[in-house]
Amino acid sequence: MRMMRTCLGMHPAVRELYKRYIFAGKDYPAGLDVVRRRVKQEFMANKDLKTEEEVLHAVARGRWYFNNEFVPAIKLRKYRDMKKRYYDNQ
Amino acid sequence: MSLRRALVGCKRVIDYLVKVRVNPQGTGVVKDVKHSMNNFDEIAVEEAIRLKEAKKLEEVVVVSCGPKQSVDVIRTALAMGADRGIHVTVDDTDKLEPLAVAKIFAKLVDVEKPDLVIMGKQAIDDDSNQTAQMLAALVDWPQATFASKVVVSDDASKLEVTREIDGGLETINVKVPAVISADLRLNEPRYATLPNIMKAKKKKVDTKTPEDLGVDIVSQLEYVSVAEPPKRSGGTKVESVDELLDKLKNEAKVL
Repeated sequence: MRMMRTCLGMHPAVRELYKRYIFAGKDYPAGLDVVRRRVKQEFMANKDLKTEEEVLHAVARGRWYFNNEFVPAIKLRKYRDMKKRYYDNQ
Repeated sequence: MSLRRALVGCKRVIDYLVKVRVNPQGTGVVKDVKHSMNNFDEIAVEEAIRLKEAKKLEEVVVVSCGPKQSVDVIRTALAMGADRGIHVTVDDTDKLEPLAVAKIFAKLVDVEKPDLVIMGKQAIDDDSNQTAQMLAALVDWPQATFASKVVVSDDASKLEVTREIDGGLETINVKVPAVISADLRLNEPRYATLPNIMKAKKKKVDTKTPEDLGVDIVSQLEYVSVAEPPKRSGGTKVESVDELLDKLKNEAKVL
């Protein structure tokens, strides 16, 4: 990872995190459009962060949310859908 | 001791979130929608990978029968952690029956010599729930269907499988080699990470045809027609109790 951030361009860790959301967003129950809009909004809210430390802190928060909220939401929807389809007919 | 190799079946199906529609000709369903790996096959792949991570299994080989886009499904499984893939190209999957798939797998079992075959219990498109059972019969191996827990014995000669049956659980011991079909509660499939998806592109996927394997996949069935379930007719609002009673008596004839 690049340690110095140039004034132009995005921090590579930020770009990588955004890619993760968009990639997994295809499977998100609400759909990719909703994911893109919301994620973009959240990323833009942090656009004025200046120091490396601040940016990486925000990225860590975004990664936490991805692993602990975003992906489990996809898994849960999948499980519930299958359960409803094949197991709840008693 | 560990098992040498596992074959894992995975089918490319219409994504579970897509609302399936019948095509205007009434010959099948609309195909140009999002596809993904069959949900039960994801569970099967995850179980094989978990066995591998627990050092109970050495190699996970993913097999998919279907059109060329089925490679995407194999890549997804490889990104989850499988080692290599085999793609058996079949253009028209509508005409591919469970028996044909079981025969293809039986041939691959001869070639690859696995100790274990894991499959999803059924595909979410045709809901057949036959392939694992037919394969077990063809290769004459014990079968453990609807598995909700799999434990490999220390010397890797036996499996203790908990099965989901009507009104409870059944625990059976089977000798390896065996065929397992995965039920919903076997595990929670992982989500492939972006770096692993990139790495999966470098893993090996063999392409074969049913003719290479000497399997006849001609369909024994003829599809007569495909129709959507009847639409629910709308209800009506009534103005008063008298009108309701009148309708119940004369239209619905329930009073």
